[in-house]
Amino acid sequence: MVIQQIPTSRPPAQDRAAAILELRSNLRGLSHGLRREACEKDVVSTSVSALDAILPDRGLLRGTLSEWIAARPGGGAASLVMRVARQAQREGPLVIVDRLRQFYAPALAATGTRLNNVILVRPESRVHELWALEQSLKCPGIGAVLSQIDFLKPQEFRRLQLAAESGTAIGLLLRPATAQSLSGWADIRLLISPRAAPRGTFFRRVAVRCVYAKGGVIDRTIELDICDETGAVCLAAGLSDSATEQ
Amino acid sequence: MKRVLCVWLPDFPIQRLNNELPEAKSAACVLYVESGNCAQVVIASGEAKRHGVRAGMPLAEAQALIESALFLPHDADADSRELRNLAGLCDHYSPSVGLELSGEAHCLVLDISGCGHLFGGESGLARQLVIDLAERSYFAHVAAAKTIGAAWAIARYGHCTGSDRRLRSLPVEALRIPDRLVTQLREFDLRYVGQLSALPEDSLPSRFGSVLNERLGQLYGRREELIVPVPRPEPIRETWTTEEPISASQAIQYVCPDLLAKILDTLSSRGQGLLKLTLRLESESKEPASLDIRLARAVNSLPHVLKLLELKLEVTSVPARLHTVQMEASVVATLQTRQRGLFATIQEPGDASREVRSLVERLSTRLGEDAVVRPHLLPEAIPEQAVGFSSLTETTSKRKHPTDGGTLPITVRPLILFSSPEPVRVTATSSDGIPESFYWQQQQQVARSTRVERISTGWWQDSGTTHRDYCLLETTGGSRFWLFRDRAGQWFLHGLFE
Repeated sequence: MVIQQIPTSRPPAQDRAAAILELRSNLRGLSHGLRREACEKDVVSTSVSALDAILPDRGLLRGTLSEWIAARPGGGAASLVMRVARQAQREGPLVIVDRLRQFYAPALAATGTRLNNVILVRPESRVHELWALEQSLKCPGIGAVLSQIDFLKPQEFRRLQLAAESGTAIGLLLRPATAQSLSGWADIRLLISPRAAPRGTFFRRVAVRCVYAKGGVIDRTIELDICDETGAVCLAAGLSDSATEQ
Repeated sequence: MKRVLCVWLPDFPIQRLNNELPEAKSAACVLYVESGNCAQVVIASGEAKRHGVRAGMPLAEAQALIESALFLPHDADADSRELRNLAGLCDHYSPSVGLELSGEAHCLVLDISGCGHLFGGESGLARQLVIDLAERSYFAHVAAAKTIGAAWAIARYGHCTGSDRRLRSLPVEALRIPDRLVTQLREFDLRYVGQLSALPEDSLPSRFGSVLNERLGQLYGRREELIVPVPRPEPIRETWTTEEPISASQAIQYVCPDLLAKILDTLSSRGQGLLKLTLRLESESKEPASLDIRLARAVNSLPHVLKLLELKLEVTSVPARLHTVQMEASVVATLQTRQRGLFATIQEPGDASREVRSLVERLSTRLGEDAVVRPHLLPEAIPEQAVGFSSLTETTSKRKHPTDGGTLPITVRPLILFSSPEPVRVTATSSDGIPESFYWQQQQQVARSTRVERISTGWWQDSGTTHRDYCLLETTGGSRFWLFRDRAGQWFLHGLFE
């Protein structure tokens, strides 16, 4: 019997980094490979190519949930979410479950969302809110489901994820900063932090970090400039290589 | 000024048959009626007419001309039923809808006096009506005029306007007179209405009877003719009563399916579906409870309506000591029939929209109609009043709202707007009165701001005088807030540029 000797010397750091990258890529391929082939057309672009680039599927997969965590109130998370929702409206109506009755229709229209293809659900209680979310996520023919949710128990989150998997919509959950410390069942978790914009412009600048992505994290941060007047979103000028920022 | 719209449905029995029997669409079709030992053709489709089949021809002769045609007995009752259903559809356009069956033409007459502007004018009304009928696979000619006679004549004999000159050029058949009288007039070479109008009125009755003068008078509006409205069908209602009051709320779940099945059976026999169901629960202990279920489109599916009923009952407190359960089909509509695909597993294009409609019905039933809405923009200055909501289950909401799609000019507005503005404490202000720092959740240091946007309304507004100076503030951390100062100088946070 031949016993293969395990090399004791550690590979150089560069090789290790390359190996980790390769393993990550393989892992992503394993968990998403078959699904991606089948659902190639079911990826909804965020309409911002720089943002697509940090997502494993170059967009959001239909039948999945994504969390958009706002690091601070008024930080621009909803502005980015509405761009995805607008893209998803091409395939079906956008359902907004708005228990707090805070989404403002003129601003939705300004982001390019077609109001005649919006179903606004305004439940009175949290129980009804979760039920409405589950029903909407399950329903075939819905483009996207959007909601602001502060707290979700793991079982509730899991129910939403299963509902999303059985439907065709992309689930967009707007979460407060406190959600960072909670576990979740979303396929993608993005952290949106406002940044001070350079002087002389009236863009707002936000940093978007992909905190978690199913099938391998691309831990990258990008900075985007958003123009609230025109709705334009672009990669912030003079951005350094974010991969080396960590 | 009185205005009448006439809707003529050419070859109505054939059109109805095509809707009911899909195979009739692709084949030549001949309808006949048995009289004694002889069967006679009543009406023939265009294809059958091309082969020489005519109304009044013996059936045997028609069969000899075109063997491959579909020969079916004519069901006049079904025609009448369907025409009444279509009259029900026209209730949406006019308060008074009647039938006009002169000259074997199937026509509906609508009193549209004062209704046109609701649809963007008479032509808009007529166009919408034709579209509605086309959606139900009916082809129609429509015409509007001052009198029933003129509207009927123009719809039936195809002139664009109802001017007196045009009316004079119509054939005598356009007077809604019997065929034998038409033949009699032709013997005298009287072919047009104008020729009859030129004759002295007194001379006509002795030769042609009083009907001719009557019809001429009705055509020109010299004689009154009223629309006899089609009576609305009796409400479909089922009741269950018990001598001994029951307290178990589950009992209602056993009663409802039976009542609903009976209602849907009755509706199916009329070719109708349910749009609104009302359930009334009477008890000894409380006032009667009533709950409504609205549907986005007419349906007659028992499991679907039962599911909605269950959802509604989940959020309704059923009174104790029930003694009567009454169910009523409050609003009904003609059922849309559609042929299913051979392979049910294949997703059909309409399936997704049907699922969405079903979702809206479920959400509306459980959460209430006001909780499932579609937003639209309103031309109002006050931000919280600049949005309107329309229910998704009401049939009227299907009409496109003028501001759907955001055609109103939009200035920069926050995505998150608080329903009631929150007072904030401003700790420092610049020379032009704009806050340099304020407290909301924590101290917010302002890095930059927009110019003030003043929103001010007059006392005549429902909400009274409003005076607000809005500005967008960006903090040193990059967050954006929408604040305003009222007339008293108090600052409020109204929204977040989330």
